[in-house]
Amino acid sequence: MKKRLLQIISVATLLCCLLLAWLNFIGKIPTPALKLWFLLVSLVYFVAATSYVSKKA
Amino acid sequence: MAFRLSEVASRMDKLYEFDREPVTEGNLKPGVLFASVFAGEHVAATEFVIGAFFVLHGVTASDLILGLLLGNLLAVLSWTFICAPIAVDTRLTLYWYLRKIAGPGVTLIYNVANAFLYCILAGAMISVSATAVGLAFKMKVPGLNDIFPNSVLWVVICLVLGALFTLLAILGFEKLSRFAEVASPWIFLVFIAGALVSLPKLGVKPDFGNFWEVATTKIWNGIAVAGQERLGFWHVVFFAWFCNLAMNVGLSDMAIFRYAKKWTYGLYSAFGAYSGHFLAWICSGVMVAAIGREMHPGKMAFEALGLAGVLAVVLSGWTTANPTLYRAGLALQTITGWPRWKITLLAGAVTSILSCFPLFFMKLLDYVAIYGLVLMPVGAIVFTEHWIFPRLGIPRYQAEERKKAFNWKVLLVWGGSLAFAFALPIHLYFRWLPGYIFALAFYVLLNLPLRNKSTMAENPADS
Repeated sequence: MKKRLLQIISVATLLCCLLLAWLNFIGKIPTPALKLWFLLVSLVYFVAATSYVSKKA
Repeated sequence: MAFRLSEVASRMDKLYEFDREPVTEGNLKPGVLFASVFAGEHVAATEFVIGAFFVLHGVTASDLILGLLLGNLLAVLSWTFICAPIAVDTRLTLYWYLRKIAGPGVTLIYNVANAFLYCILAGAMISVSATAVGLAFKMKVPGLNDIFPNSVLWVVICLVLGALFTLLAILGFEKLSRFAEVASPWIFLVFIAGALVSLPKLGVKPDFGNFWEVATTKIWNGIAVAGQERLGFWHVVFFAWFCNLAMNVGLSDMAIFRYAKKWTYGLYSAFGAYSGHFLAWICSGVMVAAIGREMHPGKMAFEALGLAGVLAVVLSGWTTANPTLYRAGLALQTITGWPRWKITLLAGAVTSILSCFPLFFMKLLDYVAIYGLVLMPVGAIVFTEHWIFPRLGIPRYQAEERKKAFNWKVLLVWGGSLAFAFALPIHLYFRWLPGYIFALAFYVLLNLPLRNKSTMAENPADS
């Protein structure tokens, strides 16, 4: 169950990164905010995805 | 240290012992796994450089898109019709199949050549990462035509990164390769996101209405940067085709496809070709145009996505250099017999020194061409032996049958076809194809007398 949750979080964070880029492209969020949020969401991705891969192994 | 081929061959065999036996029916893998392996493997640090170079070489937008579509299709077909059928037929790695054909001496030479080429590639990846780390120190990146380092800082950053990557490769390849599995989807996303956020800087409107106009005038506008040769449609086609020549036509991906249920699994290579060698190259082209056509992967990613971009460049350099260092270490381990940590340290030291020379990073397109060209004849020899010899009635696996360490015909064809390819008065990118055909024909020609002998033996009355 936890493994599944980690997998969902990993995919969701990747989609969130893409959404942030899209929002910046259409001018809804400024570039400095994009850079900060992209980094934070990416860090969440790495934590979730690394835990998922470790559990899978 | 006395050099004894039998000892070296025995060490080499032990190293590859785990894949000595052909893959059995129960160990075959589903197609989705091949899709993920290819998608993960072909989005790397090189993509930051190659896509950007197409812009600097003045490729036009239509030449790029059509050239990449066709070139990647040819690459996928090469995996499907050349590499996968032999792998599925034999269920062996190239190492073991080549050993039967050419003997342990030739596989040793192949391993050493591969190791050296791997070291140069890993060095280029360290240089790419150095451009990102150098941003923190306001370092000036070497110029497009630089051969030697342009500053002490560049050398220091390359050596420190090289030492770090080597240390991590020594500490444990398996755990790190698991991390690479995590990093690759994110790195691919950084390419897409980086290009997307760079588009408004080039004047693309949110409805994409003027995208093609911007693409043809500000990104791939057909004007090469000063000192760079202008590349056209066929250059792009051939580049996309040969950028993985050692893997598809050169057959080193037999290691992957021997697990395929059918040879048609070669088509799954499209997931790597069209994500890494199409989308990622287009995205890095957009990013380099947004920073004023400067070959600076670190700056490209930083301007687009800030620290996350820098992290992506460093990680992509590391995740590419890490397995490359590991493979180079393995190949060299067979010769020295040293423990893995020691030989990886040596490979890492050589790689770190090579990374200081911007030549390999700034001439990456040419290096990729040479890398494929050097290993391509081996693929031609194996292809001939596997498919053409049985049809001509030429006996196969002479090295194994006669217990020879060196099949001199293989060495002659390898050397001869390289000499032929390098002597051709055509562009470097186009040389491999005539070289490949030459290698096929030359190897058949050298072995034709064996066919006559066997025919005569079968029909003694004729002689």
